[in-house]
Amino acid sequence: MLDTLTDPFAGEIGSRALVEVVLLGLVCGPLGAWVVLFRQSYAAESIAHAALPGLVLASLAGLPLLIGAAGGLATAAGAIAFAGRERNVEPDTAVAVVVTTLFGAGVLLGLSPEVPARLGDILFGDPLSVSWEEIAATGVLAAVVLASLASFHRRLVLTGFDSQAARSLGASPRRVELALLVMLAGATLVAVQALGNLLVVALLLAPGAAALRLARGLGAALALAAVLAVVAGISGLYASYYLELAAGASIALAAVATFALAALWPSLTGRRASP
Amino acid sequence: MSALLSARGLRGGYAPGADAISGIELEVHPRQLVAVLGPNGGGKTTFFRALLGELPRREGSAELNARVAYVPQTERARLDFPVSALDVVTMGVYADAPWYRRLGKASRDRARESLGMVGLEAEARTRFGELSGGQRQRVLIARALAREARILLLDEPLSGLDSVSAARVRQVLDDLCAAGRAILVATHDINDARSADRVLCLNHEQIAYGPPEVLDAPTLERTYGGELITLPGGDRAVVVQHHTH
Repeated sequence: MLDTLTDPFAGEIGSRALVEVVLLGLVCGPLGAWVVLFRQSYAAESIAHAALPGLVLASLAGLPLLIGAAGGLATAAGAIAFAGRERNVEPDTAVAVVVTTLFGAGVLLGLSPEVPARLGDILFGDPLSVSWEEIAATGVLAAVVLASLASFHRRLVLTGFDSQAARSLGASPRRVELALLVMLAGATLVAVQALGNLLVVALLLAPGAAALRLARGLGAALALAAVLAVVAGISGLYASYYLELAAGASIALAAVATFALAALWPSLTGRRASP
Repeated sequence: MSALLSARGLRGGYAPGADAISGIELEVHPRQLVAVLGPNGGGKTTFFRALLGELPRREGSAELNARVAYVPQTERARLDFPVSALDVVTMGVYADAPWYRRLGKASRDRARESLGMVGLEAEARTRFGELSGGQRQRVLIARALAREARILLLDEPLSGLDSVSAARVRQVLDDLCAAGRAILVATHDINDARSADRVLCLNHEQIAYGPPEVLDAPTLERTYGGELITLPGGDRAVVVQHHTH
């Protein structure tokens, strides 16, 4: 029985993947809960997809994917800001146009025969291929995002609860919302190399949304979101090992399963869900 | 008794060349409840923003001699946000400690006492979204009290409340006034304004300021830009807006 639990992580590849998904879960869970509370799920998906051309270009140039994702996100932010200056373009339209353009460009680049990594690896990630250097980078960025979440906690509460009154209580809603997007970009940078451009959104949003359905208080929801995201990551690795499935996709499905379970929880237990 | 709040020729706005409010001239003393009366979009909330220092001031001055707190409309708050009544009141003491330090016992006690002052200590752990409209309004008032504010700015606090809840909120406001606070209440209800100590009639510019007796027909018609109709019985009045097509 114990072997069944430890076998997937016995080797170097499995242990590196375990450390990576635990770090990702700790940062993506609570951040995702905030993203859901701020109704920024669309932004989360957009930010991840907009990084694709940068990832492909980094792959072409032989650079770390982290640098490519950072470049992609910076380009997307600039393009969204530029498109948003047009008076007749609504902000969500600007985001949609820029993101689909960048995603399409990324796919075209990714189909080039010169791209060493397969497009599938970039889109769906592979936590089993991360190096210790990439894990170190994940650790540093995860620590920065978690420290930022802690320092912004009260201002996030004030703004998320009532942005109109937040200013009179000492929070600047615009700055808080911008800070949340920057943290989201940071977490996407961290997670995209393991989970890929398409699947990162699952670990960012599903455990957070699930925790908000299950927990009554905010502190409990944030803690539960971290636990669910870590559990989803580890469960995905088990599924990948024993069922011989793609690890990134398994983690994404496990993350979504946490939300499905949370949605079914009231009917399974006969308890009322949190409103 | 010195004024807690005074404004002298206050004028300000967001858009270049267009004033959101102008000509505000008033003094508010402790134990006074002031109704800020005007139509929707007439500048009541903007006037509060000016007092909070959030509106670019173009002329005049506003002097506040005590801490001020803003109490928003309850509909603006997120009912699905996972916070209890006490959590919301505790937001009022966040400024007591830096982000890296836990709130002290004195601050937490003050939040709990503030909730008691509005009669909701028994609901401390109830989720904000599960409270009634009147209870939510009282929780937001308690949050302002936790800030140790002596000047309270309430934005339409009775809007959408049933008569029992509205009476309870009015009683809380009367008690706070009696305890020495100055309270400004934005309202578009003429009959609410008649029960205040002072009335500020506002429609982008100050129309009148004084005791409820200033609420005569010409003043109300100027405030609302319409025609005043007194309903049968004479105890209620409504303003009919003029429409131009």
